[in-house]
Amino acid sequence: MRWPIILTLWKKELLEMLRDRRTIIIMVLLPLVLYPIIGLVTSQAQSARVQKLRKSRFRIALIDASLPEPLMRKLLKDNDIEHLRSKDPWLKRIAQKDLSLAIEIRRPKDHAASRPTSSPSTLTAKTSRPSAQPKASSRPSKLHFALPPPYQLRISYLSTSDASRAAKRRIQEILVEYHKLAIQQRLQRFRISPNLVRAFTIEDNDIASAQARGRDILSSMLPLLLIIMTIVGALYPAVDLTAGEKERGTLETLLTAPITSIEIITGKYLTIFCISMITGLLNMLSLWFTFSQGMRMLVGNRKLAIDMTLHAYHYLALLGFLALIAALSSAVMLSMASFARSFKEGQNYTTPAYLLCFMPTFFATLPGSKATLTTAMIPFVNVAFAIKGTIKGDLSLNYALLTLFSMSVVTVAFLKLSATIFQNEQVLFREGDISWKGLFSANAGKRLTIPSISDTFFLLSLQFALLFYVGISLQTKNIALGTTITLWGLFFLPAVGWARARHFDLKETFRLKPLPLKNFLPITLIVVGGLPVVLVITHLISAWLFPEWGEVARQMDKSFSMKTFGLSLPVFFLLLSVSPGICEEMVFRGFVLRSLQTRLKPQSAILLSAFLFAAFHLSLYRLLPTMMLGVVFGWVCWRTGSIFSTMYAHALHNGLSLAIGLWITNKPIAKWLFPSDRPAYWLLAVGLVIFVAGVYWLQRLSPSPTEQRS
Amino acid sequence: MVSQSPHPSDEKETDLTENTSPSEAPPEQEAPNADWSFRIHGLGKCFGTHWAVRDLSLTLRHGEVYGLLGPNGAGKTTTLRMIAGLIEPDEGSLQLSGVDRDTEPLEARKKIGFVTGSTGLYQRLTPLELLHFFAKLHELPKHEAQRRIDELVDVLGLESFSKQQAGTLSTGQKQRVNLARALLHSPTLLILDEPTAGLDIISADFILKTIQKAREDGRSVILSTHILTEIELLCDRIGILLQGKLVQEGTLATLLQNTQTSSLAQAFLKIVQAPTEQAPSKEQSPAATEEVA
Repeated sequence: MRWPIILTLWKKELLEMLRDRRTIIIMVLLPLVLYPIIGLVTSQAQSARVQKLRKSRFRIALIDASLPEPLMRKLLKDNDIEHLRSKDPWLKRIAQKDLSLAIEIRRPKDHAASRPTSSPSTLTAKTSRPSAQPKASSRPSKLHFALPPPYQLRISYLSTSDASRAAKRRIQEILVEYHKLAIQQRLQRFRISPNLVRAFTIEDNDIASAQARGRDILSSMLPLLLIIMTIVGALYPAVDLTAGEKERGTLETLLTAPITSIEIITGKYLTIFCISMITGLLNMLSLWFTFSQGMRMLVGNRKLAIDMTLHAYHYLALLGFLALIAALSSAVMLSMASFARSFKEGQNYTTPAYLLCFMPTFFATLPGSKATLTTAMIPFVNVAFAIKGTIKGDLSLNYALLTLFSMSVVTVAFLKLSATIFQNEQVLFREGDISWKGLFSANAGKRLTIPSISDTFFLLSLQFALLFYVGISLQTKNIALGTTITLWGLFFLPAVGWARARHFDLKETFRLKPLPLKNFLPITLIVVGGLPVVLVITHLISAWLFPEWGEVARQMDKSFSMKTFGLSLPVFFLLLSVSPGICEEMVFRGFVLRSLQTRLKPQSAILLSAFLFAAFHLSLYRLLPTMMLGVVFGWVCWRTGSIFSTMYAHALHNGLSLAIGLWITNKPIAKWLFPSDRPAYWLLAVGLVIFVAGVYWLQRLSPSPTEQRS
Repeated sequence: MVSQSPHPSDEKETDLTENTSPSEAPPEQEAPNADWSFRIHGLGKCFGTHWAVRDLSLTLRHGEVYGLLGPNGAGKTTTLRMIAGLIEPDEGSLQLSGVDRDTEPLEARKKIGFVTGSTGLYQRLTPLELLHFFAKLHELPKHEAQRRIDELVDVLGLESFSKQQAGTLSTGQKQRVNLARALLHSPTLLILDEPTAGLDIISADFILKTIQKAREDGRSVILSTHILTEIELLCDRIGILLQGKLVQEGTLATLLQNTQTSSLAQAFLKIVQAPTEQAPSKEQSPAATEEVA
């Protein structure tokens, strides 16, 4: 790489971008002008509305009731009162916003029966006299008043209407005030101190300083906004500098110059990074300024209860995190946009990437969300937490370093992807519509007899959606029927249907090749030996990595009992061992592994298919053990070239696991085989020996896999 | 990227026409070895399973203009892109004035100027900025770059619009800027892929004169166009590409003689519409070739 050349490219790209009105609008105009305008207009409109509501007279209905004079006077001061009868359509009028609210007074039944009054419902502050005058010497416990039970007031209002809500607030304040007064009057009548009904008073004392409060607000708002705006800042230049250049025909010109693709991509990356960084920075400053200015305008000359000032080191740290965000978002956007041929296509690819990047950061802004080792590894989420921590002053150095590490690794990976894409002639010079097959498959242009990676991508996306939206809810309603439908209807049928619809060779796609009987014994050894290994690893994971999930896992294990399924023994085994063996293997070792092998080396294809297989089990706790099983099944399938080998292996594994659950877990032998405090290492050793023997035997039986990378 | 060719050609030093001409065509007189500026040997490009260009060999003298003809989808653009270094050939070698493209790809690109009818200009840069930018990419010394730019602005008549952003220029003006860009680093070989496409007669004439001038300056030129009069007017030799293979090559007179016709248009049609056995890669469907070319 020649840096003078890269600098020349960068300068030219930047000059061109800065001469583009759209860049200037997104980068400068939007944050510097739009936010203050939006901020000012909305805050003023809001305060005008609040003022208007405060001053407006509400129309209030009294249903079959009258209120005492002082209370009526208070209500009438700012509102219009209408007396209505209960049979009138007042509820409808509230719904139509013709009335703001209605007050009903309900007299307690027993009291109404015992003490008929002239006015049907009159709320007064008067009380009946106590049946016995309390004597000065009497103890308070002996006081006895013949007090009527309290009246019940019901306020009917419309919570979806601003005016009705404001009216309710206003009326409630008046009523509470009047209620206090009524109590006070009652107590005064008997010369009792108001303290009789007041055990204590409550006083708020928020010790958070104005600055701390300001930082709390900033820390909840700034990370997400900063991330969103910085990614947006990278989006447009990335599309313009790659897809836009292809569309304008200038990329071809540039590629004829004596420069390497890496130099071109570096120059472009630096340009996108700069623009993204400037956009993020201007957005941050503008938002901060608009917000603090808005606060100042709201409180006028009064002392601010919220102080948003930050120190120089805050800015420095924020700048560092901003650079990390800009670096990764530029790399992500560059790689996505490089695929595209036109500006429009570029936007189609970058928009989902944009959503995927910032959506998880919402998690960081949730109240109570905590920065953990796991969040430190998730790009963007980790920066959101780091920014939050920086502003609040509780960011640990470890977390910051982990964030730096994780973001850098992912950035480098995306840059590498961009470089790979950019060096791909098919991407640079393709004509016509995008051919994903051409990009990811070596079989471009050839009539396919087996699925390509894009087929797998779409099939698994469809199946994941089906599993998530249909399968899970079906299983919650009826676990046995739900599981059957999931396995056969959502896994088996779509995979076979897809292959048929695309006219693939079913035999080759699903490796429907007979398996010689002699292979079954080594496979049995592999599964029987592998089972303790998987169990021990599951144990270790639950103990070390997810201690808090142990209980969840135990609950899950319990759910796999015959009782919960309500099935007889043979059907139980048929559903949970044979069916998964057939259906899941058809998808993951048949369709998926076969398609991955068109492009990847067998090892990588097996690993990736195993990961997908594990991911579909929707359990983080079981991810690693399931993935290991996937690797074993994948290897067996690849080695024997027959799906029946792995169907047998899968069914056997599930069957053994179920058998352990049914007949061993509650027996004394379980304590010996699966001690709860530590994994049974001797069992692991025995298992490993059997497993290795099985692997060795199978290797001897099928010396070279029939299928190589195609 | 250069893969092992299933059809390796060992005869590196053989007469170029032996490999490329069909059986009936008599071998052309080849330029003496010392005089050649550009030579490709056994060039091939495969897209998926289709060979867009196969076994293409060609040698050009200094100051020679070579016309590359062929129907749509014959592999012309793929050939020119391979020569320009935009795409990597899957087989074959390319040498430019003693520079081997395989070992010194960037040095080879410094000796090539490439202009197509669809080449875009940076809309928001002026011609002067564009030329200075490319001068830097070619690592021309500052004074040399300035001298060349002044010269090209003068020769190609860019003066009146040299400080206007390219987005505001006419198609003819843009193509002149493109030519200036391609000539800036004094290339040995100038590749022109339909350079007059969409131009009015005055602009097209200007481009043709520039090609003439390049020839006089001793540059080799490969010109691909559908306008046969341009070929007749300018080219010293003509090659006809069909389904990725060079099926005829020679001077205009040789072509006319070989095909027993009186005009290049007739000769071209006769060659292109000849029975398929003339086409060496008959196992490929034309549609498939067109799709990938």
